[in-house]
Amino acid sequence: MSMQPLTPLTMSILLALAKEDLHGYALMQEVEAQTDGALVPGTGSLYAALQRLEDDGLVKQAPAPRDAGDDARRRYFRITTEGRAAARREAERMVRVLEMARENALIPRLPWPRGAR
Amino acid sequence: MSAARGGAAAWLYRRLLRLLPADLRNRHGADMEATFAAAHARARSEGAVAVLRLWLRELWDHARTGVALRRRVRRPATGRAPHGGLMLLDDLRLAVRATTRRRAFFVLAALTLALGVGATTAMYSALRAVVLDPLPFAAADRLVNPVATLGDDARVRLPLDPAQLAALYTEEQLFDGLEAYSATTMTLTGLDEPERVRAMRVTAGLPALLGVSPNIGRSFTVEEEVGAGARVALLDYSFWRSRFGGRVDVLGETIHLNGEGWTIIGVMPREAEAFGSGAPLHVWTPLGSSAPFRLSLARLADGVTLETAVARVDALVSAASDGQQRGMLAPLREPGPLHEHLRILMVAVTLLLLVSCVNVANLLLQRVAARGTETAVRAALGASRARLFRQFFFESTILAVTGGIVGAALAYGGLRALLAMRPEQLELLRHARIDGGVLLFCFAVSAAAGLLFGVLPAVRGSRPDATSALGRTGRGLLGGSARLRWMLVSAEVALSFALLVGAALVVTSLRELSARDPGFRVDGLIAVDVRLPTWRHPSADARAAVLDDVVDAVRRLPRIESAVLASSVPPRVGISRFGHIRAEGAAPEETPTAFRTVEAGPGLLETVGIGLVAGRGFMPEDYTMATDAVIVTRSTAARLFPGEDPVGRRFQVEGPPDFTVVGVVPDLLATGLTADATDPMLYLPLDRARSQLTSVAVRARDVDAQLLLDLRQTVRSVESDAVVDVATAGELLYASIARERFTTMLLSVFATLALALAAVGVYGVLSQVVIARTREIGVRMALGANAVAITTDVMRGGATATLAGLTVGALVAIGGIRALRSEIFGLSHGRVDVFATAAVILLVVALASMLLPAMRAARMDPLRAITTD
Repeated sequence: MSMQPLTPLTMSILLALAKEDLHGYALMQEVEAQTDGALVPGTGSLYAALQRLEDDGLVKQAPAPRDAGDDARRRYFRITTEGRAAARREAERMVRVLEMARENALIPRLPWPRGAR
Repeated sequence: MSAARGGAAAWLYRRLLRLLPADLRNRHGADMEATFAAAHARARSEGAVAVLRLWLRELWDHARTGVALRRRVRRPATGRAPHGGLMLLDDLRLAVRATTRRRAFFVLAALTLALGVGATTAMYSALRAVVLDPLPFAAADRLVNPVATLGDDARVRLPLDPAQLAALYTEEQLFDGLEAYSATTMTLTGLDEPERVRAMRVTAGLPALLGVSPNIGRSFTVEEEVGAGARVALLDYSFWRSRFGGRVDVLGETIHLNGEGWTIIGVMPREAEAFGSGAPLHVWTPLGSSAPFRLSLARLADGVTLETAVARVDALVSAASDGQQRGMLAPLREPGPLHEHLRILMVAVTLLLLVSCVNVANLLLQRVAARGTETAVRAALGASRARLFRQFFFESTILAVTGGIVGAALAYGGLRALLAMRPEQLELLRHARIDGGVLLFCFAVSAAAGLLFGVLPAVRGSRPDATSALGRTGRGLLGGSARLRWMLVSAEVALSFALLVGAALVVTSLRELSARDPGFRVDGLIAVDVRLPTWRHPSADARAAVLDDVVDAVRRLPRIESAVLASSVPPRVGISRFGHIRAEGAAPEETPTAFRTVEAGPGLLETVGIGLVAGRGFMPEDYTMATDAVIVTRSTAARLFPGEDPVGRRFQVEGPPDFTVVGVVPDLLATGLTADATDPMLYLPLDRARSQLTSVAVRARDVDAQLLLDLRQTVRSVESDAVVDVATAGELLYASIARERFTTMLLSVFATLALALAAVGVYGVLSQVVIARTREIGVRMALGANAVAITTDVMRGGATATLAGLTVGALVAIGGIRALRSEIFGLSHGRVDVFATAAVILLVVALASMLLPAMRAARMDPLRAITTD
């Protein structure tokens, strides 16, 4: 299992799956929402990322919830324990990056005032 | 319906899925289709733009992901070589990376190539416009000008006379159409200042024979040919665009030509501009049936060969003129001096292109040598020869494509510059443009160049000597390619030398042209050309009276020494007498002779600055009593009365009057610096009732632009509708070799570029040699060799290559001169002095480019040199 930083797309997928099991299309929408539309994955890269996460044991396929049932081809994905650990490591790495950026005065030391962007 | 569309989208998406590797497709394909179907459904609900965006995103995403995943698959830790198409892709990527990593090298090589390709392409576009492209007329290759010739001399061509034309009309099956035209100049007034415009007078059927019809408006009708022709006009396309703003509502408006109103009935299409001599046209008018001067245009009927048609026309014309004349069919576009100039320039740019190719090959070989280690490592790790070859070849291809693109841009800029600088005599060049065909040529040239210079380094590079390159010391860097690279330098030198000799020959002949004795005093002579409105002053006498006023007014201007009325002023003397000579005491000549003639008032010789060789000038009674006195040039005298004293002798040109030679003057360059000074020429006293007086010869002190302006104003103050052209004789002489100067300038530029490229080649190889021999040189210096010995030794290779190149280049130049055999520049014979000059220039440049590397070798620190690897 890799200790490398996760790509933005895989991190987004793990974050989305941390809440609940999702199928591909829902994942797509969730990623798009998370990044305010900055990251809109195509089906190709989305499933390539899912496959890699699967191979690395961070994500596995899950049974469809009862209320789904609209399209039999649909598969649901669920985050594994390793997946959660990897996402947490990535989040901690990001925090360190954030702190470093503050120390080097790349961004303001204090959080932005509330309401401002 | 909507289901069907969904089905189509699903089908298309499944095609798209194939871009992804099979295992991803197998594992997730069905799920991906479902996901896409959902995304597609939502996009559809948002509109067509959203659907389009989705498709574009998916297409891009699949292509990118497909490549990225495969690349990962391709490079497993085991290091197994990829295969098939992926390997090609891999090689291409390697090549791209190699070129972007050595950016300076790549830029230099691409620019070198672009230079050659660009120059060749620009010249090609000119050549195409003037020589290669068929005229833009229907079946242009079957259009001919039937003309009559005198005897067997095909150079003197006459329009067919009515009897001859009538004879041609009896042969109905010979031609598909037989029409007439005549180009003339007219005075246009009422727009800006009065100006001379060129009018093409044509019969009603001529446009149809050419296959052109007016862009707007209508063509001429047969009724409009009656008598002198109706006062209706079609505008030339460019003239219409520039002077009438391309307005469609010009139809029905009136323009004033020769003082009469002409109604505009239409605008000719752009293609029609290619008709005639190539000089820009302004208007087209009907050729009246009473017009005496008519040229013929005919289209050969289908199935009639040119040979049979010529034979038939010859027989008919000959019969219709009692054997006095013969008939022939002249092509619409005949090879002229411009063709020859372009041919020479095309040869020159081809040489430049070859030099740049050799230079790039040399640069690539240098890269191959420098990358010997990298290549050897790859070979040792199992890269096949084919793969190495392919990688080097791809690098050349990238170079060729880049060179082609930059070359096309250079060609575009070059052609614009060329057109901006073109002299009046090269008006035909205005049709040159970079179009699809030219671009195709450009890329064909760079592809050929890529092949030419790419194969050699690829072969070299794919054959690395692993043991020597890996364990290399010193010489290994240059390796066995040293001799090959010196040979390339020799080739470069040879080609540059040939080009340099060509340029030097042209420069020499241009200098000789400029230094020719014009036969008159150029300084202070001004030619004032005055076209009076004939409609206001119909008789020659009346026009002479107006011109007398002009001369009087001119004489009153400051700084004017003298002013004389004349039919023409050197160096702008046309042919105005033509006929069979009958010299006193000799039989009439068989073939007629054309005479250049100046008819002028008293004091012409003094004003123009012509000294007498024998006899006298004109006396007052020569003007008042019509004595038929004539002054001839020396060559004319020798032609009329060979070996005798011509003064006092008499002769006729096609019947009376009996001219009496009263004086002999030196030969004159009647039409400029390229003129034949031995052309027969006469000076006559002006005859006010008959002479076509159009000029005033003026001699002045301290000529400047203001004086020329004053002269113009003075003429306009006497007759405001006169078309005035004022030029100094110096300007006219200078303009007379504009074409030669243009070609010379271009050739010099090409030769200089080739020389610079050759210098870069010599420098590059020698620098490499010095680096490769660093260690050896260090040892020798440590053992006591002095700097001179080292320098000489290092330069020896370069000197040998340069001399070998010079020898081959001289042979190429001699062969090229023979093949070109140009009469324009007297290129038919090589000249020792020119060859020697060119050789010296090249040797100096080659030595200079060797100096730097050689000095670097001589200044080497022995200790450091020995320890260098």
